[in-house]
Amino acid sequence: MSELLKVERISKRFGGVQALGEISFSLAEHELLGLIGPNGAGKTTLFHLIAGTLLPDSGQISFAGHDITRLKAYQTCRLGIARTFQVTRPFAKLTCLENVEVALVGSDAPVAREDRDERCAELLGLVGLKGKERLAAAQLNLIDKKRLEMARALATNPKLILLDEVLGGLNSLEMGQAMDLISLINRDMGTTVIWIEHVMGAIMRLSQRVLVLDQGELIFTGTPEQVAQDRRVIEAYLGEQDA
Amino acid sequence: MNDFLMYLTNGVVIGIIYALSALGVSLIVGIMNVVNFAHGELYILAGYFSALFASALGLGPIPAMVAAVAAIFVLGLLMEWTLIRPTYGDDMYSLIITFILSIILQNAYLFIFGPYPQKPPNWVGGASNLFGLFFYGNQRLACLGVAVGVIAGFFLLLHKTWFGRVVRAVSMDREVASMLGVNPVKVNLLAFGLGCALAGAAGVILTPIFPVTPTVGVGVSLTAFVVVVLGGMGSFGGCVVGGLILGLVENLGAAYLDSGYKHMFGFVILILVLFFRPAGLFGQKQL
Repeated sequence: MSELLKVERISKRFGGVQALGEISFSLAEHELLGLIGPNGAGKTTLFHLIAGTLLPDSGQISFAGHDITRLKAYQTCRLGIARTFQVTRPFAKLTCLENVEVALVGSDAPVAREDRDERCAELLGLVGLKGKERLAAAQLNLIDKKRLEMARALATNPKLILLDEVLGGLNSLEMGQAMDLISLINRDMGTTVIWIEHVMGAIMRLSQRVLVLDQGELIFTGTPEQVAQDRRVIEAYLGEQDA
Repeated sequence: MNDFLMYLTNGVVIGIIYALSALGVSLIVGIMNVVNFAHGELYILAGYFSALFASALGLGPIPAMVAAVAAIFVLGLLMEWTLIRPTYGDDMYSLIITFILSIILQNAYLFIFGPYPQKPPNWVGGASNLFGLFFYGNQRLACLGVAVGVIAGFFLLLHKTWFGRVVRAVSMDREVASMLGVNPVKVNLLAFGLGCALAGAAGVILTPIFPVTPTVGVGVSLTAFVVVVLGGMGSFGGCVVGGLILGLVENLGAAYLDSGYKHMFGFVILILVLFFRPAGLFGQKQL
């Protein structure tokens, strides 16, 4: 498997807070990487740096052979990095179809002008929004908004999708559907995924590898089985055992 | 009764032009969060251009209007590129820069075009008998028709084209749009040019009725801001309704109460609307 993303010693500081300190890792094509850690560990900041919405203070990020460290968000998107948001952010007054169309047109996805509508409808069908194409995004419930964000991300023709807490706020049935969708995107479509999640069971089941961040430091990298055994990870989540 | 209908028609004609001009402000505020204080000066410049192109180049009224609006569009692109783009990230700078620009332009007009009112030739002459009730100038009716056409064209552009959908998406959530590959710099450039062109369109349409002088632009900008706030920030439909309300209130108030207080009536309505609906008639509440 060839390397798709390489993050080298990137750091980010917000005022007096070191959000990320010299994080390095790499990601192979088709991999599904779980990213976990307590609140404030720097997970979403890492997404911002990769996607180009924030600039790192130091370090380098390369993606598919390009140095993307200083690229803007729309440029990293066009190279093939898409993302969804922890708090969903659909274009509320646009219909579902229009939401996806904006992504398709904005990212210059290689779809002929006359095939755009069809392609958008196909993506909406794929994520389970068939029949809701004409609904305004504001009318959707939470799981459907998350589905819409997935369709929108897929419309940009990504090589890498950054998923930020897809399962938060969903009931167990919906969680299962969302996990099926993630598995479809990763295993069947071959898209590489980095997935931030607090629901451990889900991460353990789908990830091939897990990174653990704590207070801006990368404290562990390994398979899901190894993570569950690691003392530092358990301490980061539960605190040290009283002596 | 017939008098009333005529005042009403006047109000609608002026209201639609207000709406057209306000759409330009609303577009630029919605996309770029920039308040263009030189909006009225661009409106006037389009009026001067349409008069100039008609007299100096011998163009007919329609080609002169189209050329004037095109010139304002290009000027808008240049303005965005040279003056607005360097200010991204701090809205206050663009506010001050466009304010300064409006003063420079007013004085340039005084210097170049002189203090006297100027107007292009009328497109049509005569008057028509409306519904057998009263006579109304053909020029004003033509203005109404063209303005309605331009507004309809603008709404079609927003709702039926790819460009329009992208523009609406950017005005709803700029950051997400850029993460979906939309180049924000390009959208800003086009939106600013288009917003200026709408000011220009309002200018060329109204100049045959109300000739331009170097300083009437202040009132034009102010009216456009009132309409945008009245209709609700970020709502294009609100601009149309707000423009019509303002046009009607001003004209009916001037006719039946006191023409000296014409502009005051508009502000009274604005205060009332803001008192009962702080986000404007069609505005979304800020969360």
